[in-house]
Amino acid sequence: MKEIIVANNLVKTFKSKERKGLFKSNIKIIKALDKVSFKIYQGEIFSLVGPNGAGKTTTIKILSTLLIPDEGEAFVNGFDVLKQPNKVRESIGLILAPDKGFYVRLTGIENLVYYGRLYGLSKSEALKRAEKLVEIVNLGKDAYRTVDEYSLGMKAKLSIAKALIHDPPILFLDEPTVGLDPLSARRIRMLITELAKEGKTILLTSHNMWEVETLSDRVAVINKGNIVAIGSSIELKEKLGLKYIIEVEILNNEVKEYETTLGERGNPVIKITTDKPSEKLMSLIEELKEKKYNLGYIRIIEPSMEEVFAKIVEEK
Amino acid sequence: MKRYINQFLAIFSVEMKDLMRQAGQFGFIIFLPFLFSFFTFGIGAGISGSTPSLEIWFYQIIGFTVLTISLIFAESSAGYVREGLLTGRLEYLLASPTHPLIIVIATALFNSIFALSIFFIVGMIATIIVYGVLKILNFILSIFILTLFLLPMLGINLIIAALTIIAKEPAGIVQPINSIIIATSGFVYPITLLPLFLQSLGRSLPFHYAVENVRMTIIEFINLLYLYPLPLLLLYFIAGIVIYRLLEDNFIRKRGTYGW
Repeated sequence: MKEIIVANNLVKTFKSKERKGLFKSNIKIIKALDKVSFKIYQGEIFSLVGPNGAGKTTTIKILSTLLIPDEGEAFVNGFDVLKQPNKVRESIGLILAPDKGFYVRLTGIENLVYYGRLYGLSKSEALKRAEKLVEIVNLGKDAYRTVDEYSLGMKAKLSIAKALIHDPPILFLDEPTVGLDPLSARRIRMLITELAKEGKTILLTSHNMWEVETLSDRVAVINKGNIVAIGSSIELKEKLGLKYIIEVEILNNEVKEYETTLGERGNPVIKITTDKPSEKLMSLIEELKEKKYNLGYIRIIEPSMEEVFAKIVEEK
Repeated sequence: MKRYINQFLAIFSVEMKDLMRQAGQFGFIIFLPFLFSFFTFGIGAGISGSTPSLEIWFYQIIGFTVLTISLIFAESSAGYVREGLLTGRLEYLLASPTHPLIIVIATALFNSIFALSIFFIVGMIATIIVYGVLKILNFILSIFILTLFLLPMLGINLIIAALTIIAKEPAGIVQPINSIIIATSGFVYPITLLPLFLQSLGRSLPFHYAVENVRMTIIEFINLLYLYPLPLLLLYFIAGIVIYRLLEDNFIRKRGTYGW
């Protein structure tokens, strides 16, 4: 697979003022990124997750040429972010905050045409593309209303359309569903999945671990400016040795051989923790059948990305 | 080239549309020079006990118009930067393949047209009231003169915008500078009434020359001799572009003043 985004040992520090009363202040150096390296392959949805202030947005801003790193190098679509910034900018569609970046007295369409023209489209080309995109993001007639009348969900849709106006091969989406209601968030997620199917490479950040797990091919966990884990969600769970939980409900029987808890329907439920859920489940069912137990529901609970995240971040 | 023209037109046209949807604000700005000039004219009449000539009112209204334009011009780019940062528009603009000079030129042209249209409306009405159609040609020439002086004003405008990037809030930068501009430029009184150090300060800025040349062109005619400071004042324009680019790069892209 072709490497489409490469970050090598990115370092970025910021100076921050610590106020100590009315006149006194100390300059504090904050290392936002400390030798961050990763690769993203073509057509992949790659998520960057981490606590607030971990360095996610800094990474996106460096890759989108908005910030200059102190050290290290990065390539986007084969172009150097420091030496060929305009080529990088042409290759990416960007969402930094789904509700920002618009002229609120202008309509959605007018905003899209504006951004299209910034990327070199003529007015008619930009308008044509904008009209197509508002249909794709399901904004419809609302696109002809001024943005100050938009809900957060509508702004998020418009943000996606804005990022796609010049049909870039790469999308950087920094928390695209933050603050959205479940339905709007679901629509945005569906859109992201469709875009990935079309072959676009997506770098996503989100605090919604379920969303990250559902959407991403690979996930990198960043904490205090360091990438502390990277891989598919399954790989990360295996690496951390997180266990699956098997639940089997027993109907009309008293269970003596196994430890049970009381289930939702008042029946005993056998709970077993394992790292090999299918093998363990098969053997358990065999055993229970032999012992003539009547089985109710059977459930395998996967360890969640939230557990992965918590374990990695808390350990570090 | 086509790409640059498109980018230029994109920035210019959205700023224009945004302004057109705040027509009330534009009307209010046009009303201000009339308000202040009638006010000072009335006070003058009250103190002297006689009605001054309309030429005195004309002196005042042209002064107040150029003052209004100067104040708007001083802070427009600072406001653009601040609003751009608050609304996130500036980040998206800087993340697009748009050359920074195109951004500067497009916003400068928009600001210039905005300023000139205020001057055109107020100045035309005032000229016709005082001189009838006799001085219309002079008035049109004065627009040209004002346009020339907008270039050094633009330089100051960009320096203020650059300082706003560091200070984050435009008010702390713009208000002291505006006070100096108002006090030392002789918009509504002759600069010679001021103490020498304030006169020198006023003469080192383009605003005094702008208002004097504009008034003189309408009342008498264009006098190239009085345009002598213009080449030197254009250094403000060059300095403005250089300082803005340096500070934008250093504070927005290198230091990341606006968070991470």
